[in-house]
Amino acid sequence: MSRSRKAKRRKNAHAPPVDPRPAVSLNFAHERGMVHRDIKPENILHRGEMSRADFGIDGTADDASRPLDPPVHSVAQASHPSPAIRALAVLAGFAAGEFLASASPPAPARPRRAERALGLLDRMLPRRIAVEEIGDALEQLARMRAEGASAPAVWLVVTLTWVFCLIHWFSYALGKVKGKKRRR
Amino acid sequence: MTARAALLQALIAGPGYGLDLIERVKRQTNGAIVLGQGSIYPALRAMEDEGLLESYESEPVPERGGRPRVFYRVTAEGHRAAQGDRSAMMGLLGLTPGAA
Repeated sequence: MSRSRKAKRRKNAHAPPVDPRPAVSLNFAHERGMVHRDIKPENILHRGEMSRADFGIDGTADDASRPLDPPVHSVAQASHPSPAIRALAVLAGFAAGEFLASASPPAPARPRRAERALGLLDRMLPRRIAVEEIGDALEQLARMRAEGASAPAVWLVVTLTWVFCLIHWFSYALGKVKGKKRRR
Repeated sequence: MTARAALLQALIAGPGYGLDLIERVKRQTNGAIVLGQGSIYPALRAMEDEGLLESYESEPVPERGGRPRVFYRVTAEGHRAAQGDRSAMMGLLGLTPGAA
């Protein structure tokens, strides 16, 4: 109880992420007629970035209507189907796990180099220039990517944005200096 | 035609932001006038300082890295200036009544 209260007090940032891959793997196998029937944390192998359900295959989807009791805990304890079919099913499950591990959801996309180059500029300039010039440049890059623009064209936009932003920042600063002199 | 006059005419149709205004001017002039990003922002800010335009920010936009768009719209003074520019241009082209 106290443990759960403590857990409630934890911030969201401390909550471990939910990995959907075991569930996706099971769904994939089930759609192809394989039933696991013994899914538990011990049967989920986690190797760094890759997680794989240990398919203790017991039967096919056709057997799913069969009563679950008594539970079958391993392939060796299963009374049917034949060993050859079970071996094939295990191999198919393993292949499905491998396939899903390679096709698992990608990590969050890192900012692209062109965007990072503009992000660097963003931190150097006043907010108005950062919002307007750099914002418009990023929007233009997004459109260019959607239209399949070439890499040199993208980098030309980035370079010109750098040049114009620095000129604008210089004239902005100069205008402020002139304004101060006029007020004096 | 200056960038300033082109922008004023483009903004008469409705509020717009930098990238949108570049495309609007290009479309309205059939590609004859293409404003660059180097000239449009100082011109817009100068016109705002002169009271011809006023600006406001939109909600943050994801493709702009979460930055808002800065929209500009024409003030009453801007409308008068745009009308003056238009009359001058029509006069030059000999399109004003009695100019022939």
